[in-house]
Amino acid sequence: MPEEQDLLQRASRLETKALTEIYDTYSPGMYRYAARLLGDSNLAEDCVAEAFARFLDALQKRKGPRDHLQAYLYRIAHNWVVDSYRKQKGDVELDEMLASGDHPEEDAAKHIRQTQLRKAIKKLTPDQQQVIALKYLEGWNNEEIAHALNKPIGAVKSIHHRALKSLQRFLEERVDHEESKRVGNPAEKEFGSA
Amino acid sequence: MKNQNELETLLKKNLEALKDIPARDPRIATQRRAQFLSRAVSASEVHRHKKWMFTFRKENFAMNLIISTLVIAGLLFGGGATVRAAQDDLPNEPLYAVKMWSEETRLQFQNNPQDKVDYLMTMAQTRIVEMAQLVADGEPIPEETPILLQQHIQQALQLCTNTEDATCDQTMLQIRDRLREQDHLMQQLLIDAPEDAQPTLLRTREMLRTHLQQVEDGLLLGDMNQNMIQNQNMNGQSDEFTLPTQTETGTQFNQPTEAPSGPNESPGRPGNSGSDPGGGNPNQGNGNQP
Repeated sequence: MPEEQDLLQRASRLETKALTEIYDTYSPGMYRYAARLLGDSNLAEDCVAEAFARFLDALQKRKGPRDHLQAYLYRIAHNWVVDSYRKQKGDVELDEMLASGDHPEEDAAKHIRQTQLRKAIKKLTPDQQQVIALKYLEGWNNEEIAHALNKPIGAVKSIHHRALKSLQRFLEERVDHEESKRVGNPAEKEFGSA
Repeated sequence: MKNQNELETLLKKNLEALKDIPARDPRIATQRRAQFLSRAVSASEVHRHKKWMFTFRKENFAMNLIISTLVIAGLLFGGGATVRAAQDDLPNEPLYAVKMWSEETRLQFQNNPQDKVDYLMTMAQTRIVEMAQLVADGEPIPEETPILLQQHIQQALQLCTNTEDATCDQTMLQIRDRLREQDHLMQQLLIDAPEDAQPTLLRTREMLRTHLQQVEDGLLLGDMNQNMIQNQNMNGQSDEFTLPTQTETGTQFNQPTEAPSGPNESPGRPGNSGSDPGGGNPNQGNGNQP
């Protein structure tokens, strides 16, 4: 933590070396986070770029974070993801994943599973999305998530609980819906049984 | 309705599918990094300038006099804030002239030819970094920048010819290593550069490779360092540099007489893997440079 404090202090003075260090440390994880939620590598790159641009703007206006840098950066990235969800009219297609695999059937099944999960996550509130993504995709603990959400740990637990219930309901609705129009796609069957 | 633990287990299992994401494209990642760093550098510069201006406004006349004296002293000795601020400036920015002036001054202060050669090659490297930054910013490369780069290299080679044979070989090796490094940087730059910047960058790289070839040939022959470069300089490649002329394909700056006759002719020698300054597929870079 003292190292992060020092890094943040240097970043607040807009020292290029500190800013480079921050970018190199956090951008790979932020890309991963955004790519998992968005399912599109180009959008994920845009998300990382925009998050760091906003971070730099905040520093220039002396409104940058004083601590918990990682949580701050992921919060900006998540806000971008939520905005992107709102802008998306249809579903994000993962053509790049489908096109690149050696096993098209497995890839297609995986693609469908991923699309269904993202659709379910998109239906959650932004806070619920962030709790689910940080907890299960990034493996953060409640305290770290609380910093990212800027909320007390108790609130995070409550959001988590409600998110689980909602997610279960959305996934079950989805399975029922798919079941009714299913034409024998093995991937959907597998997901429904999970 | 399942309890929370069962739900969590089920969810964890399902969410595993989202963990598998396509690999990050290193080229795009490098480009985005360069863009951020470029913004960070300008933000840092603006911050420094603001601080400086603030200090000036606050002080009274006597204080301004003291500060002015300090600035002049700083400019003279290359350690002042303005000079430091100018070090990051690009050719299209206001303090660039200060940067050029401070470089020239520092060059004059180098005590021996070897130090001068080293500093000239550092200046050459700076020109390439400026070109890279301009490309990353989407700005055009001014025609003077590659000319300056060529001047620095030729000055370094010229200086080398004036040193003793033993020292010259050592200096040539030093120049060769720097040229290789610069050629590699240029190779990386070409990969990501937009189409309109390509002609200037290609010609610059060709110029670098021609000089690299000269140096390597000189080192191989052992005793020709001075003769070859002196001959070339006598044949019109001296310290006098002409401004580039506009051709159909863009800006043309002066080329050494032994430059390849056509754009497809590689100045590199086949079979000399150690000296190949990045010939072949330009996409083989490591992606670490902007």
